[in-house]
Amino acid sequence: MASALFKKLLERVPKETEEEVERSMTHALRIHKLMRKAGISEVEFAQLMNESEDRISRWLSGMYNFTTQDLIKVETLSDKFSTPISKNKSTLKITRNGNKLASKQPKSLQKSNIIESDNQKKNGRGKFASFSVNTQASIVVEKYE
Amino acid sequence: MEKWLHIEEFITFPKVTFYTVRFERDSEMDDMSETDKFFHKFENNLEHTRELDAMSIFLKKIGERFGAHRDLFRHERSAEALPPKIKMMARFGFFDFSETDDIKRRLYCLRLSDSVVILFNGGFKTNDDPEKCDNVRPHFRDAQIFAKRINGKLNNKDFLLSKGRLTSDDELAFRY
Repeated sequence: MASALFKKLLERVPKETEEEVERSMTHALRIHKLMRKAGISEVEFAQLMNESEDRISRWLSGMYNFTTQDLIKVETLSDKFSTPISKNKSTLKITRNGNKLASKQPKSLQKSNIIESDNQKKNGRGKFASFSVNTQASIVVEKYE
Repeated sequence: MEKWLHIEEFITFPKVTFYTVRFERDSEMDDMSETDKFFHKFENNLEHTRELDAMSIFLKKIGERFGAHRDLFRHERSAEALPPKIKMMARFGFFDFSETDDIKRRLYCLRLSDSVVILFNGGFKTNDDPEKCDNVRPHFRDAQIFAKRINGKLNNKDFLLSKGRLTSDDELAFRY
Protein backbone atom coordinates (compact mmCIF):
# COMPACT_ATOMS: atom_id res chain seq x y z
CA MET A 1 0.00 0.00 0.00
CA ALA A 2 1.39 3.40 -0.95
CA SER A 3 2.42 5.90 1.69
CA ALA A 4 -0.49 8.15 2.62
CA LEU A 5 1.91 10.66 4.17
CA PHE A 6 3.95 10.97 0.99
CA LYS A 7 0.83 11.38 -1.13
CA LYS A 8 -0.30 14.19 1.17
CA LEU A 9 3.09 15.90 0.89
CA LEU A 10 3.00 15.67 -2.90
CA GLU A 11 -0.40 17.29 -3.04
CA ARG A 12 0.76 20.38 -1.16
CA VAL A 13 3.71 21.15 -3.47
CA PRO A 14 3.19 24.39 -5.43
CA LYS A 15 2.95 23.95 -9.18
CA GLU A 16 5.87 26.35 -9.80
CA THR A 17 8.18 24.27 -7.58
CA GLU A 18 7.25 21.18 -9.54
CA GLU A 19 8.03 22.91 -12.83
CA GLU A 20 11.29 24.28 -11.47
CA VAL A 21 12.47 20.86 -10.31
CA GLU A 22 11.55 19.23 -13.59
CA ARG A 23 13.45 21.85 -15.56
CA SER A 24 16.43 21.52 -13.26
CA MET A 25 16.55 17.75 -13.58
CA THR A 26 16.11 17.85 -17.34
CA HIS A 27 19.06 20.20 -17.81
CA ALA A 28 21.24 18.43 -15.27
CA LEU A 29 20.75 15.14 -17.09
CA ARG A 30 21.45 16.74 -20.45
CA ILE A 31 24.67 18.25 -19.13
CA HIS A 32 25.74 14.91 -17.65
CA LYS A 33 24.99 13.21 -20.95
CA LEU A 34 26.79 15.89 -22.92
CA MET A 35 29.91 15.72 -20.76
CA ARG A 36 29.97 11.95 -20.83
CA LYS A 37 29.50 11.83 -24.59
CA ALA A 38 32.17 14.45 -25.11
CA GLY A 39 34.48 12.77 -22.58
CA ILE A 40 35.23 16.06 -20.86
CA SER A 41 35.60 17.01 -17.23
CA GLU A 42 33.77 19.81 -15.48
CA VAL A 43 36.90 21.97 -15.77
CA GLU A 44 37.06 21.41 -19.49
CA PHE A 45 33.40 22.15 -19.70
CA ALA A 46 34.03 25.46 -17.92
CA GLN A 47 36.64 26.28 -20.57
CA LEU A 48 34.14 25.60 -23.27
CA MET A 49 31.75 27.94 -21.54
CA ASN A 50 34.36 30.72 -21.54
CA GLU A 51 34.21 31.09 -17.77
CA SER A 52 37.23 31.43 -15.49
CA GLU A 53 37.97 28.46 -13.28
CA ASP A 54 37.74 30.69 -10.24
CA ARG A 55 34.28 31.79 -11.19
CA ILE A 56 33.17 28.29 -11.99
CA SER A 57 34.54 27.00 -8.69
CA ARG A 58 32.37 29.55 -6.92
CA TRP A 59 29.40 28.35 -8.89
CA LEU A 60 30.37 24.79 -8.07
CA SER A 61 30.38 25.54 -4.37
CA GLY A 62 26.61 25.68 -4.48
CA MET A 63 26.81 28.82 -2.33
CA TYR A 64 26.98 31.35 -5.11
CA ASN A 65 24.28 33.96 -5.37
CA PHE A 66 23.49 34.00 -9.04
CA THR A 67 22.71 37.39 -10.53
CA THR A 68 19.92 37.81 -13.00
CA GLN A 69 22.54 38.19 -15.73
CA ASP A 70 24.19 34.91 -14.73
CA LEU A 71 20.87 33.18 -14.87
CA ILE A 72 20.03 34.61 -18.27
CA LYS A 73 23.42 33.55 -19.57
CA VAL A 74 23.25 30.00 -18.28
CA GLU A 75 19.67 29.68 -19.43
CA THR A 76 20.70 30.77 -22.92
CA LEU A 77 23.60 28.36 -22.93
CA SER A 78 21.49 25.55 -21.62
CA ASP A 79 19.00 26.01 -24.40
CA LYS A 80 21.80 25.57 -26.91
CA PHE A 81 23.14 22.58 -25.03
CA SER A 82 19.77 20.95 -25.25
CA THR A 83 20.37 20.20 -28.94
CA PRO A 84 19.54 16.50 -29.25
CA ILE A 85 22.58 14.29 -29.54
CA SER A 86 22.10 11.61 -32.16
CA LYS A 87 23.46 8.19 -31.29
CA ASN A 88 24.34 7.54 -34.90
CA LYS A 89 26.07 10.75 -35.88
CA SER A 90 29.70 11.30 -35.24
CA THR A 91 29.55 15.08 -34.93
CA LEU A 92 28.31 16.88 -31.85
CA LYS A 93 27.64 20.58 -32.26
CA ILE A 94 26.65 23.24 -29.78
CA THR A 95 26.15 26.82 -30.82
CA ARG A 96 26.02 29.77 -28.46
CA ASN A 97 24.81 32.33 -30.96
CA GLY A 98 21.82 30.45 -32.22
CA ASN A 99 23.32 29.84 -35.67
CA LYS A 100 23.01 26.36 -36.97
CA LEU A 101 26.28 24.84 -38.04
CA ALA A 102 26.72 22.70 -41.12
CA SER A 103 27.05 19.02 -40.36
CA LYS A 104 30.70 18.93 -41.42
CA GLN A 105 32.77 22.05 -41.14
CA PRO A 106 36.12 21.36 -39.53
CA LYS A 107 37.73 23.82 -41.96
CA SER A 108 35.92 26.68 -40.30
CA LEU A 109 37.65 25.99 -37.02
CA GLN A 110 40.49 28.30 -36.14
CA LYS A 111 43.66 26.60 -34.89
CA SER A 112 44.42 29.35 -32.40
CA ASN A 113 41.19 28.71 -30.59
CA ILE A 114 41.46 24.97 -30.36
CA ILE A 115 41.47 23.50 -26.88
CA GLU A 116 42.35 19.86 -26.79
CA SER A 117 41.19 17.68 -23.98
CA ASP A 118 44.09 16.73 -21.70
CA ASN A 119 42.33 13.51 -20.82
CA GLN A 120 41.96 12.58 -24.43
CA LYS A 121 45.62 13.37 -25.09
CA LYS A 122 46.72 11.40 -22.06
CA ASN A 123 44.53 8.43 -22.76
CA GLY A 124 45.35 8.51 -26.41
CA ARG A 125 41.97 7.16 -27.27
CA GLY A 126 41.78 9.58 -30.16
CA LYS A 127 38.03 9.69 -30.26
CA PHE A 128 38.05 13.46 -30.20
CA ALA A 129 40.03 15.51 -32.61
CA SER A 130 39.37 18.88 -31.04
CA PHE A 131 37.26 21.09 -28.90
CA SER A 132 36.98 24.45 -30.53
CA VAL A 133 35.51 27.87 -30.09
CA ASN A 134 35.14 29.71 -33.36
CA THR A 135 35.07 33.44 -33.89
CA GLN A 136 31.29 33.55 -34.00
CA ALA A 137 31.17 32.32 -30.43
CA SER A 138 30.00 28.91 -31.47
CA ILE A 139 31.23 25.93 -29.53
CA VAL A 140 31.95 22.85 -31.57
CA VAL A 141 32.92 19.49 -30.23
CA GLU A 142 34.04 17.44 -33.17
CA LYS A 143 33.99 13.72 -32.70
CA TYR A 144 35.60 11.21 -34.97
CA GLU A 145 34.64 7.56 -34.70
CA MET B 1 16.24 -8.07 20.50
CA GLU B 2 15.65 -9.68 17.15
CA LYS B 3 15.14 -7.20 14.35
CA TRP B 4 13.83 -7.84 10.88
CA LEU B 5 13.19 -5.50 7.99
CA HIS B 6 10.18 -5.96 5.77
CA ILE B 7 10.26 -4.47 2.30
CA GLU B 8 6.99 -2.88 1.20
CA GLU B 9 5.78 -0.60 -1.55
CA PHE B 10 6.23 3.10 -0.81
CA ILE B 11 4.80 4.57 -3.99
CA THR B 12 4.55 3.40 -7.57
CA PHE B 13 4.87 5.60 -10.61
CA PRO B 14 4.76 4.56 -14.29
CA LYS B 15 8.56 4.31 -14.58
CA VAL B 16 9.69 3.46 -11.08
CA THR B 17 8.43 1.49 -8.11
CA PHE B 18 9.78 2.90 -4.86
CA TYR B 19 9.88 0.49 -1.97
CA THR B 20 10.69 1.17 1.64
CA VAL B 21 11.58 -0.91 4.69
CA ARG B 22 9.78 -1.33 7.99
CA PHE B 23 11.30 -2.68 11.18
CA GLU B 24 9.86 -5.63 13.03
CA ARG B 25 11.27 -5.70 16.56
CA ASP B 26 10.52 -8.81 18.61
CA SER B 27 7.50 -9.55 16.41
CA GLU B 28 6.18 -5.97 16.76
CA MET B 29 6.01 -3.99 13.54
CA ASP B 30 6.95 -0.29 13.69
CA ASP B 31 4.08 2.12 13.15
CA MET B 32 5.87 3.79 10.28
CA SER B 33 8.16 2.68 7.50
CA GLU B 34 11.66 4.14 7.60
CA THR B 35 10.86 6.52 4.73
CA ASP B 36 7.66 7.73 6.35
CA LYS B 37 9.74 8.47 9.44
CA PHE B 38 12.02 10.59 7.29
CA PHE B 39 9.20 12.67 5.79
CA HIS B 40 7.36 12.84 9.11
CA LYS B 41 10.43 14.36 10.79
CA PHE B 42 10.34 17.34 8.43
CA GLU B 43 6.65 17.49 7.64
CA ASN B 44 5.87 20.46 9.86
CA ASN B 45 9.23 22.19 9.72
CA LEU B 46 8.28 25.40 7.95
CA GLU B 47 11.88 26.56 7.76
CA HIS B 48 12.66 23.96 5.14
CA THR B 49 9.33 23.44 3.45
CA ARG B 50 10.76 24.25 0.03
CA GLU B 51 13.50 21.67 0.47
CA LEU B 52 11.05 19.00 1.47
CA ASP B 53 8.79 19.93 -1.45
CA ALA B 54 11.75 19.57 -3.77
CA MET B 55 12.60 16.15 -2.35
CA SER B 56 9.03 14.98 -2.90
CA ILE B 57 9.06 16.27 -6.46
CA PHE B 58 12.44 14.66 -7.15
CA LEU B 59 10.84 11.31 -6.37
CA LYS B 60 7.79 12.07 -8.45
CA LYS B 61 9.79 13.23 -11.47
CA ILE B 62 12.14 10.25 -11.27
CA GLY B 63 9.11 7.99 -11.10
CA GLU B 64 7.02 9.65 -13.75
CA ARG B 65 9.45 11.08 -16.23
CA PHE B 66 13.14 10.25 -15.94
CA GLY B 67 13.36 6.78 -14.46
CA ALA B 68 15.92 5.96 -11.79
CA HIS B 69 18.82 7.13 -13.91
CA ARG B 70 22.18 6.62 -12.20
CA ASP B 71 23.14 10.30 -12.63
CA LEU B 72 20.26 11.28 -10.40
CA PHE B 73 21.65 9.52 -7.34
CA ARG B 74 24.52 10.27 -5.02
CA HIS B 75 26.80 7.35 -4.36
CA GLU B 76 27.20 6.63 -0.66
CA ARG B 77 29.49 3.59 -0.42
CA SER B 78 27.25 0.50 -0.75
CA ALA B 79 24.07 2.58 -0.96
CA GLU B 80 22.84 5.72 -2.68
CA ALA B 81 21.15 8.92 -1.59
CA LEU B 82 18.83 11.61 -2.85
CA PRO B 83 18.56 14.43 -3.81
CA PRO B 84 20.72 14.49 -6.92
CA LYS B 85 23.95 16.44 -6.69
CA ILE B 86 22.61 19.92 -6.53
CA LYS B 87 25.93 21.53 -7.41
CA MET B 88 25.42 20.47 -10.98
CA MET B 89 22.07 22.19 -10.96
CA ALA B 90 23.17 25.16 -8.88
CA ARG B 91 26.14 25.62 -11.16
CA PHE B 92 23.89 26.31 -14.05
CA GLY B 93 21.34 28.15 -12.01
CA PHE B 94 18.41 26.02 -12.98
CA PHE B 95 17.32 25.44 -9.45
CA ASP B 96 18.56 28.20 -7.24
CA PHE B 97 19.04 27.10 -3.67
CA SER B 98 21.37 29.98 -2.88
CA GLU B 99 19.14 31.03 -0.01
CA THR B 100 19.64 27.72 1.71
CA ASP B 101 23.12 27.08 0.28
CA ASP B 102 22.30 23.57 -0.74
CA ILE B 103 19.83 20.86 0.01
CA LYS B 104 21.05 19.38 3.25
CA ARG B 105 18.54 16.60 3.55
CA ARG B 106 19.79 13.15 2.70
CA LEU B 107 17.39 10.34 1.99
CA TYR B 108 19.39 7.15 1.78
CA CYS B 109 18.28 4.49 -0.65
CA LEU B 110 19.35 1.61 -2.83
CA ARG B 111 18.91 1.87 -6.58
CA LEU B 112 18.48 -1.65 -7.94
CA SER B 113 17.65 -0.75 -11.51
CA ASP B 114 16.21 2.08 -13.61
CA SER B 115 12.80 1.04 -12.35
CA VAL B 116 13.31 -0.23 -8.80
CA VAL B 117 14.53 1.82 -5.84
CA ILE B 118 14.32 1.01 -2.13
CA LEU B 119 14.10 4.10 0.06
CA PHE B 120 15.41 4.10 3.61
CA ASN B 121 15.61 6.88 6.21
CA GLY B 122 17.81 9.97 6.36
CA GLY B 123 18.26 13.30 8.02
CA PHE B 124 19.59 16.84 7.94
CA LYS B 125 23.26 16.68 7.10
CA THR B 126 25.58 19.05 8.99
CA ASN B 127 28.96 17.74 7.90
CA ASP B 128 30.36 16.62 4.55
CA ASP B 129 31.36 13.33 6.14
CA PRO B 130 28.20 11.45 7.18
CA GLU B 131 30.19 9.63 9.86
CA LYS B 132 30.82 13.00 11.53
CA CYS B 133 27.20 14.11 11.48
CA ASP B 134 25.06 12.99 14.41
CA ASN B 135 21.88 13.49 12.40
CA VAL B 136 22.63 11.24 9.47
CA ARG B 137 25.26 8.83 10.84
CA PRO B 138 22.78 6.18 12.12
CA HIS B 139 20.82 6.32 8.87
CA PHE B 140 23.95 6.26 6.76
CA ARG B 141 25.17 3.18 8.64
CA ASP B 142 21.77 1.51 8.42
CA ALA B 143 21.71 2.17 4.68
CA GLN B 144 25.04 0.35 4.31
CA ILE B 145 23.69 -2.64 6.25
CA PHE B 146 20.38 -2.69 4.36
CA ALA B 147 22.13 -2.42 1.00
CA LYS B 148 24.49 -5.28 1.76
CA ARG B 149 21.68 -7.51 3.04
CA ILE B 150 19.44 -6.79 0.05
CA ASN B 151 22.25 -7.27 -2.47
CA GLY B 152 23.09 -10.53 -0.72
CA LYS B 153 19.50 -11.70 -1.08
CA LEU B 154 19.56 -10.78 -4.77
CA ASN B 155 22.83 -12.63 -5.32
CA ASN B 156 21.38 -15.72 -3.66
CA LYS B 157 18.22 -15.42 -5.80
CA ASP B 158 16.12 -15.09 -2.65
CA PHE B 159 14.94 -11.77 -4.11
CA LEU B 160 14.30 -11.33 -7.81
CA LEU B 161 13.96 -8.31 -10.03
CA SER B 162 11.32 -8.87 -12.65
CA LYS B 163 9.34 -6.49 -14.83
CA GLY B 164 10.15 -3.47 -12.69
CA ARG B 165 9.21 -5.20 -9.45
CA LEU B 166 11.10 -6.75 -6.59
CA THR B 167 9.71 -10.20 -5.81
CA SER B 168 10.41 -13.21 -3.66
CA ASP B 169 8.99 -16.72 -3.37
CA ASP B 170 9.13 -16.16 0.36
CA GLU B 171 8.60 -12.93 2.29
CA LEU B 172 10.34 -9.77 1.12
CA ALA B 173 12.19 -9.49 4.40
CA PHE B 174 15.70 -9.74 5.81
CA ARG B 175 17.31 -9.90 9.20
CA TYR B 176 18.91 -6.65 10.47
